[in-house]
Amino acid sequence: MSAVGGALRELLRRPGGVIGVAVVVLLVASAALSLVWTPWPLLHTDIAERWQGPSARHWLGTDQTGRDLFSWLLAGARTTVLVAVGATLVAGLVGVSLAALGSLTPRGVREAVTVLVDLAIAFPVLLIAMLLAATIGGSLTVVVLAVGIGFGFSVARVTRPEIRRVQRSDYVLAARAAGVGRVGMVVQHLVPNVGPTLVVQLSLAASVSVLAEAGLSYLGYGAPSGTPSWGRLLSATQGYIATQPLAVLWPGLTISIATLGLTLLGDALREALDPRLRRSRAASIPTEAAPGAAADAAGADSSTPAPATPSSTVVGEARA
Amino acid sequence: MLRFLIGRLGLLVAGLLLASVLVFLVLRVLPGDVAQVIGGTNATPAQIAAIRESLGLDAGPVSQYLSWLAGLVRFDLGDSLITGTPVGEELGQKFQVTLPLTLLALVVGLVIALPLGVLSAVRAERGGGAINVAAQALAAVPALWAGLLLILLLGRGVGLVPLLPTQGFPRDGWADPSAALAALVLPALTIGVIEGAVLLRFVRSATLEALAQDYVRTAAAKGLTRTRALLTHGLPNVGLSIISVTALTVAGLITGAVLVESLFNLPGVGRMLVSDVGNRDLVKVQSEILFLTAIVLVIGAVVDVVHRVLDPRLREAGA
Amino acid sequence: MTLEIENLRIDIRGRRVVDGVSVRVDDGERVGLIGESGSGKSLTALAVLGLLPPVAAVTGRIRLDGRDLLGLSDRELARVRGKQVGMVFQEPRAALNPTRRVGAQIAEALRIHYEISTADALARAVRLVERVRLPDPEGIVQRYPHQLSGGQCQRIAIAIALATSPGLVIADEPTTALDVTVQASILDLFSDVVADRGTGLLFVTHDIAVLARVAERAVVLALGRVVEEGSVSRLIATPAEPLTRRLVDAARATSWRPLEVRR
Repeated sequence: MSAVGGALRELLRRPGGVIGVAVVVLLVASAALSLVWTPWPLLHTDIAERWQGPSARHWLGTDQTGRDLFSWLLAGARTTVLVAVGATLVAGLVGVSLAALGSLTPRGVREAVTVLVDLAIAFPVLLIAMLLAATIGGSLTVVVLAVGIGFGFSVARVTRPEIRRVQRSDYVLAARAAGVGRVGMVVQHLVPNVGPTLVVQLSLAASVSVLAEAGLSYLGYGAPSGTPSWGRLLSATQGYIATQPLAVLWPGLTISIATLGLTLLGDALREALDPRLRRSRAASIPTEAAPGAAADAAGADSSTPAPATPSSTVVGEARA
Repeated sequence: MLRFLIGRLGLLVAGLLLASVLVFLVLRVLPGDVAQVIGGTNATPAQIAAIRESLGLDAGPVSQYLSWLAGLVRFDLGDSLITGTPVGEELGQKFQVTLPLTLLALVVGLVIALPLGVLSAVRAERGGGAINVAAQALAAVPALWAGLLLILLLGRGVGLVPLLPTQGFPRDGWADPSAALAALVLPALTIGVIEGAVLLRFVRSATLEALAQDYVRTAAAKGLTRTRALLTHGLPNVGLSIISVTALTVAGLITGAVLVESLFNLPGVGRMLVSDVGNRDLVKVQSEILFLTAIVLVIGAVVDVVHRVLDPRLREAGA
Repeated sequence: MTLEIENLRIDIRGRRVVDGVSVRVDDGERVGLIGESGSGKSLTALAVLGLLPPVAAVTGRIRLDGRDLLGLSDRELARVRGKQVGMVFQEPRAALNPTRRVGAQIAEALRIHYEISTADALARAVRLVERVRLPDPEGIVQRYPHQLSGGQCQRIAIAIALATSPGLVIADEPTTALDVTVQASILDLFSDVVADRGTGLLFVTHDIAVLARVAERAVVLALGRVVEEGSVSRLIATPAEPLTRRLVDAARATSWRPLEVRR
């Protein structure tokens, strides 16, 4: 589809987009590679070689049982990718369902759902995860569900007004008058108009999921022991911070890079997919005087900041 | 205004009720036999029966919920399933660590976010963008790792703090305030730096918006310097935007507390929750989660009211 | 008070948006600056008081009674703004601070430049509101901008610009955002208050019909350059440039007749 190609070109024209895409590619490639090859077998231990610094033999050194840190880090990407994909799917499902309930139903239901979402949005992802972990025990499923549900509220919050706008727009009225059916309406108008918002939100959900997985695995309620996970590596290396401070650096660094990459991707997608923002950048020189115009152009990258914490379910249009 | 207050209070109560129902459903109804969950697979039937009795599980779920709710209203949160101690008392005690920790973190966050956020917007053409990029990168850092890095930096590099915080908080609590405060500095710094980075980006975009406001230009046209015009006319309105993201900040602070209390071995509500989840002490978990949620919801409501009082456009907009 | 803009150049991020504009406003003279959007007319007006966005680089000369304004620091320029030169903007509602009462906003203009008490400043604000012909001035000063109509807000903005009895008022499309019926009364107010005290006026607009009501002389801008200048009646009667003719035609298209020019 040329529309997708065009959006991709727009995306790769921005530094944030290039970094974001690169991080995603690297992440997926690492995960895939680790399935067929790691420098050392994951289960290879050698007490004689424990607590080694970086060397040609062990690129990032070894841990307390002599396991190769780089191999574990590489394999940790699997968990990150798995959780990100799962959380994104669940968030999309929850978010779209709630947004649809909040816009396509009779007025009473619509408003009740909207109020519910507004209330639920304050609920931190981590608390949802703890709630689930107390019931069904800690696992990656808990992480996926917690991020999916928690971020699903944010997705609904941002997507619902978009659906409403399309619903009330003149072009939908015109299409309806022209006799376009319900399915046609969804395909022609709803998907192209709401899709971009959704894609942006989902990439932010992925970035939240990376932090959430790390945090929960660190606390012991995410990846089960023996599963390669950056959060687990962080907690494992933490105990030896005095003897091997470098080992602490790597898992934290990979978590940060993955999160940042996905956040940047979300921001870049927001610009690349929104025709209004795209145009404003192309014509970034204010011709008629307005002190704000220049500031707007300069700040186009952050017209709505999208910070992601391990915590807040709300990212993106929080100021709305 | 009165109508708004009543409406907002109603919404708050509805939110609290909703949260309590959800927490109850997930913890007590979803798992099927709660006693089995608590007892674990190795529990004898006698033990299971004892748990059933102590929880009042033989009553239906509705009456179980109502009796929990009735207890909540009287600030009676029930007793721990494992130690038998009253939950409310322990929660109050742990909150004496978590509350100062999060407040301190908030102060750190604001001290970072407000000046730097404004600066990065005002100097958008000269280095302001770099501050923004740095904040975005920092916001992607896991709080735990930030804590570890701070320990490394200040402990190993400067030698200010012990490298491994084994005894996180003085055993006698706030008996020695300076010792207690000292124990909170590094954890608060950890949460505050990350939350500050998140807040900074809100401050920046709110300031950019304020800079673009015509009335700031009008104020300059009246004879204020451009900086004064921004400070006296632009920033109060930035303040309003910042207030409205406070609920987010609170959620962030609570999450930060859960993680960082575990990292620094602090006896706060967050670490209490983490260990109770591990112990499957559902009575404690349900109260802890509801307590933390209530903080977020109550602060959200207070913020809405404050926002309404400060903004004349909202003040009289009716309901 | 005489304003001389000479060979003004404004660059924004390397693009020249105003290229060698010269405009002179003599003491008490009413001059129009007219052009289509993008002609640089508003930027020229904002440059006088140093209100351009920071990204704009300005060269040339802007003199007020012989004093070069471009060389002044923002602090020094702030003493000129409001005190000697008042300014009115395009969007009346956006130009007022939504969270402050309009009386306080007028009073602020006085208190910046004079050592007077809040009460005195407010009392003078009431008289200024009277002068811009708003009913119930005591009541109006207690209102917030969102409680007033666009036309009322613009009158408040004019009161702010006139507060210190400046020698020159710069108005940047002050009627564009208003209803046609309101426009006429605001324009009349402009010409009256300005004529009252012999205040000079630099009036920026894209509408030559508007200009005919308030200005004697006009400078026509296109793409950052001056293309024509002369008395407003001459420009309307015998436009030399195609652009000027286009502006006249555009005004005629909205059923305006040059006969209505007030002399």
